[in-house]
Amino acid sequence: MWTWFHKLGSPPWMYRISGRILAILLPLTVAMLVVGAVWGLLYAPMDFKQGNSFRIIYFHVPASVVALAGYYVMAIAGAVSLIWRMKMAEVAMKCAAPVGAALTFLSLLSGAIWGKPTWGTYWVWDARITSMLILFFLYLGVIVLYQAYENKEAAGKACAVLSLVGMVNIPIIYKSVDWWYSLHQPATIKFTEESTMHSSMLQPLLLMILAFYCLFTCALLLNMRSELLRRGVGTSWVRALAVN
Amino acid sequence: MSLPTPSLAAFLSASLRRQLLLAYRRPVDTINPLLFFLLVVTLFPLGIGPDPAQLAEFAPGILWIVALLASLMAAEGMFRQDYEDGSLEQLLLSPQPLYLASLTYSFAHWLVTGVPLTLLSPLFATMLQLPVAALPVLLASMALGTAILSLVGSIGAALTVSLKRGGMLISLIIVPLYIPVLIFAAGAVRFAAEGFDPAPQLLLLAGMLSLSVALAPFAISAGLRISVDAG
Amino acid sequence: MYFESLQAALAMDGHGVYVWSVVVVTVLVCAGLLVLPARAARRFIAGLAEDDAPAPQAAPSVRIEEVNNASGS
Repeated sequence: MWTWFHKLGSPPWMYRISGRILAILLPLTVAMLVVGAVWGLLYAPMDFKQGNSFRIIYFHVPASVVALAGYYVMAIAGAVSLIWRMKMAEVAMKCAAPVGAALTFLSLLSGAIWGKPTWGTYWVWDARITSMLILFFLYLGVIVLYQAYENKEAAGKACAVLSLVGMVNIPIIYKSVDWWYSLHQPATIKFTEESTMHSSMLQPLLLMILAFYCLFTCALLLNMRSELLRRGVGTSWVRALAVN
Repeated sequence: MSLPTPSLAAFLSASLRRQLLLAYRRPVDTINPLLFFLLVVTLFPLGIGPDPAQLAEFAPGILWIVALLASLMAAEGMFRQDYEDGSLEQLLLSPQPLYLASLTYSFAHWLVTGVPLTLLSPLFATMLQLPVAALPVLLASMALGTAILSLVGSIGAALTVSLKRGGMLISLIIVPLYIPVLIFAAGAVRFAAEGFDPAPQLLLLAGMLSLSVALAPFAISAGLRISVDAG
Repeated sequence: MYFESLQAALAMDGHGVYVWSVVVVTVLVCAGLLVLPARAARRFIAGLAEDDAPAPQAAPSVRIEEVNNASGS
């Protein structure tokens, strides 16, 4: 059983196996994204309250969900790298940060664009948007801390500690922002359409969420491959790749 | 080792005494955050107008944002001197539990910044027209909240002490983690000022303080080890 | 299809600007996430193949790659 674990820690094995996974997963992801987007944009019925602008949900919600999940992936990889001193987990943690930050950025931007037709303004201090903004800062903190360290081994450990601290804090931050928002709730419509969504609207959303999870996996693996190459400079397996 | 190892209590009290003595010898570091507090509190009426009703409405938020920034300012230099003169490395090599040693650092930081901020906050609150009835709650929220800020700030300081440009970085790392404290503490003061019961928020702050006392020292010790190894 | 014509799908009753700009941003972010690391890896291998292998010569090309990646990520 442990051979599997040891193989996971071996860069050439990981490089090879991730290449094989990507060969299948990457086309699948692109196909799911295209099908989900076309389904949501052109075939799903319109929301009677918000009109067609509700179709932004098919990009905003998956990006938000996966951005948050990505932080947990990063923090758990960080924990594994600290506890078992596993280099591969550290690579995964380091590579998950920019992917998560990009998805958080996408979520914020699409939320702001969605806000214009819905609330009449690009930015509202809504609980969810505010939480996403804080999540974006948490990601940026990890990325910037990694860049700030000259010693990359220390950088990996420091970021692992920071992302674990962030993981403990995320539920507290989300709850506190929720409470804060309910305290200051302005007299606007509160959207709870997830619960009342018709299945013809929900199905493309679920497909898009799955597609974004796959997108995260693909981007993470691609990032890890390039990081593995950079770390493996001078080793025989990287030289063998160059020869071929 | 020729000297006998001191008992844990003796070690901790000596460590705390040392921190306080260092702070006493460099009073500027202690007074700076307080002056900063006063300065920024002065800026707000100049920026948003002297209307007492408006100031009173913003007072809880202003006081807490400024307290947060003052604590952040003081957090940056927390381990700097001990890192540079090598006593941090000595501490890591000593047989004493690092968990408790990190706790004394945070505790000393709180005594030197949190307590003065707490004691001075009623003065600044009066300047900002906060209702007198809210002052006890302000004191309680400051005492609890600044302790959390010190503990969380120590994590950021421990992770960045070996870096040359730690100053900007520590704000980016730590401010997102300060947000729950800001929300609940300012919320408690606001509730008290408006005549509601602030007990739930204060209890939440107390809970967050217990959680950070229990968990933050792990992160601080890990951060200190990483920083000393990196440098 | 929900819409009657391509025109209607583009306009989306006045909300088209918002919806389609989100689509464009999403496509850009997704493409960036997938293309940038793949290109970095490909260039890296190409760079290694160029100065085929003695370690001291490989070092400078590595440093350039690192700079590229730091600005890219």
